Amino acid sequence: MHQLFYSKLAVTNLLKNKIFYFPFVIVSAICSAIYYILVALSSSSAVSLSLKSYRVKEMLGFGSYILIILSVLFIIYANSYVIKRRKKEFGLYGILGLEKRHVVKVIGLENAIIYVLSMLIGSVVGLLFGKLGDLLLLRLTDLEEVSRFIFSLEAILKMLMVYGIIFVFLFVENTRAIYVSNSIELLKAKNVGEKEPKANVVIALFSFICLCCGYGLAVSINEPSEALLLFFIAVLFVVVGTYTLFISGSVFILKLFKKHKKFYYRPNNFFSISSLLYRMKQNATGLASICVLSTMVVITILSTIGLYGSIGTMVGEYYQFDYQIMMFELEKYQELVESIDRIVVDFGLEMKEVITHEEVTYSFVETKEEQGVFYSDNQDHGLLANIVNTVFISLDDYNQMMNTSIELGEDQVLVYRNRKNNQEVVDLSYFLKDGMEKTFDVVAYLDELPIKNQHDSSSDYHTVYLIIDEIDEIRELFKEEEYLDTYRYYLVFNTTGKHSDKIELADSIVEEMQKSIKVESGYSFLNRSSSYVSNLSIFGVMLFLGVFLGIAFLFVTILIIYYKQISEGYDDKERFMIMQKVGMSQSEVKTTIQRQIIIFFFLPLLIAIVHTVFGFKMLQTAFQVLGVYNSEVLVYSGIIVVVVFSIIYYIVYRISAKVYYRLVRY
Amino acid sequence: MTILKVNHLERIYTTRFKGNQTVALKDVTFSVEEGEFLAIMGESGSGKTTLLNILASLDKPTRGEVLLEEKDMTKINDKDISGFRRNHLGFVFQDFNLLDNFNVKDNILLPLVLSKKEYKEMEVKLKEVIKLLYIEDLLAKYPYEISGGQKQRVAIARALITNPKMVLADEPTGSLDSKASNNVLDIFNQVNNKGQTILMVTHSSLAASYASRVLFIKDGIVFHQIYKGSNTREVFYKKITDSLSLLSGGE
Repeated sequence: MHQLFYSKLAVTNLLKNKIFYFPFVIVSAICSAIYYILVALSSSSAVSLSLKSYRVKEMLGFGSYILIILSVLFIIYANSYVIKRRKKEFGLYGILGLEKRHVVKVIGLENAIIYVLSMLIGSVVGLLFGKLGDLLLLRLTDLEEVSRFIFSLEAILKMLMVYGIIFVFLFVENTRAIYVSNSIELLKAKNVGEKEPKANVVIALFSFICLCCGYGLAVSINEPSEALLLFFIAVLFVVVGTYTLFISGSVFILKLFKKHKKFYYRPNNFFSISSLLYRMKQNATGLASICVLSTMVVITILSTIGLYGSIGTMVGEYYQFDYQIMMFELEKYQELVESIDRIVVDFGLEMKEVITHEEVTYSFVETKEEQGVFYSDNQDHGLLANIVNTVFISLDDYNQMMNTSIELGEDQVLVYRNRKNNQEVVDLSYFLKDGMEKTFDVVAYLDELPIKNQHDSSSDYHTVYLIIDEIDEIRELFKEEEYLDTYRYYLVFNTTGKHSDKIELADSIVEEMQKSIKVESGYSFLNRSSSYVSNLSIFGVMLFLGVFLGIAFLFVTILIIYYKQISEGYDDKERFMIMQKVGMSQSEVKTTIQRQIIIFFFLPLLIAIVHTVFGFKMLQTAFQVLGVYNSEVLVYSGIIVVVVFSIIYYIVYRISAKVYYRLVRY
Repeated sequence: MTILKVNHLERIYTTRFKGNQTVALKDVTFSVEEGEFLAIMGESGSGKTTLLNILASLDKPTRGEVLLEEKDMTKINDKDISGFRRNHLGFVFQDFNLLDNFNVKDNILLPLVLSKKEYKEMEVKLKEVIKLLYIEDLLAKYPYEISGGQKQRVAIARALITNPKMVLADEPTGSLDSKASNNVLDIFNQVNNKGQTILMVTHSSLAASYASRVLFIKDGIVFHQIYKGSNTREVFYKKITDSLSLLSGGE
């Protein structure tokens, strides 16, 4: 009988507070469902069987940890909101004669019901969408194993345990809250008036300066290599700027509006400005967090989509051919060139576009350049920047690769430099030491090399490519600077076949090189397909995580605004009642409310979008590091992400506005 | 000149489950002259709150009419009712009903803002009322920073700033101590002396003794009324308490 009473009370309480608990259950169900999907996928046979996907497993696991953190934060935050709202109710129980331990019992039962409901819905949603998530992941990552993902008991248990712990913690927290309070205190309405916030001009100014600096940095970065460091500085500026803007800048602006009497004393402005002033005081940090979070969600999803969408470009930028082999030993190289046809045909594929060529590379240590004159300064700077790589390519090879028939005279060269900012001069002269002097007559500067990124021409090294007819003469001249890797022989070609075939072929070529040809002094083998596939699996998982975590973040963020709005509703109820008593009509109340909610809801979103727009420029620059110069994918995905985000946001706004209006209606 | 005429007012509440009817007002008829200070007294359940709600056009009668300067308030449609209340009536409540996120000045100006008046006009009117109510020093303060008596004076200023035809006061001294009560009632007298019509609902004999006439309501009808005439307030107070004991003795 007693037991029944408590359960009944718990159920009634939950129903009575359904505007709080319903969204609470939904969001914790969504979080737990996504957690289940991530855990189930990372332990599913399909993923773990694939050898190449060890990183996939790790990344999914990482994603599940992020989700736990998010869930903990969300559930504790939402709970504190609800409990604050219900304090009066607890106080009433005390007065009615319920002991604290009885109240705790009721709260415990409530928590248990919410937990069971969330887990039930979470499992169902997780199971339904798990299959979908599995298909999406396989599709995105191109893992070819047949999926057998249906139900993972392990994942379900893990989910129940993790969320069980969170809810137990919640219960402890609520118990504490009930015990530290006394009835009288709980019953007392918190009708103590609050002072109007003061506008701090210094902080307000500081926030504008921070935002300007952040935005300015984001827009002015052009050099991809600088992007990363400056990116963090800019983000720091913007985050600090956002918080101070909401906390002080908003009050400052509102006060300015308020000072303008003719503007302030209009019905709409009158209520909006004064109520916003009050809301800002309580909610500034919350709104700023929402703004920063939203920006992060949008940028994260945007970059994962951008990364995924640019894999083709990225790989294409880096690899112009399916296979690029570089060796140092001429005899072994020739052996390989002779047998490569047989290997490919034996494998069942066909050769296409074969190019063989050589390069002569000298790294002149401790060399300086001034106006096209290179000389050894005989000082040990110990810095890579003082090394100048000079690469000679024979004109014959160049003509073969480019399909041209250029002719060059004695000492005439075509030049390509990887540092574009260096001055283009007519003569290039080398004065290294006695007997090693040479001046070249530059015929033309090339925009690009025949085969881009042939060897790792990382931009840290200053490299000058010279295309020259009499390459043997050069060899003679710089004989003393020869090392093991001075002569580089290249074999590049394409074949028919799918990515998976090409990867297998690459494996068997490597095997051939090691076993039959016995290459000794090292080689490099670049295979476009394996790079493509591994990029696909990494960026695929990142996109997958971006989407799923993005959904979780989105829901949590929006729910927080919803809670804020609703609890404002309780405080505002009395205010609107008074307004109607002194002569405000229903429709006037409605428009006032709408204005308030719109500003409250959409201010963070608006600023988040502005952040995103400025961050976009930065993202573009960062993407150039990865070889993506074409930002069309980025622009489109940016627009789509922002639009989808705004639509979901708008829907929740409509719901909140409705609930809010119902609360304050007189 | 008669400013308000109430004719045969009846208000019957029907509960949601049919059948149970509660008669709040049976048949109330009275009128208020311009410049009069009328107090309406009655025990709880006598129907005085219902009457006030109808006069404030927050509620509609089942039968009868309320004529404010010959215009039937019960026939005004919902769209215009707020504007009508704002422009013709001023309200003073027991619990002040000041907005805590506005300072005193903005609280007083609120009805004018709603009526979309020019700011210059607002300032002129503000000066008048704050002088009348001795609240010049409070303008920048917030409701939670001032005392109950001061709050009620601010509320009266808010009620007066629109130059209403009639001020409706609902237990204006109900939340005040006796000193503050006397102060507020003195102000009502002063305002009334300047020609402001006031209708006050109260169950305090002391408050009622400040009025020029007292109506007694019981069981939904006007049971009795007495005029102050040339009596001193003390004598009038005695008359009121006598009438009240008569009223309850009749049961």
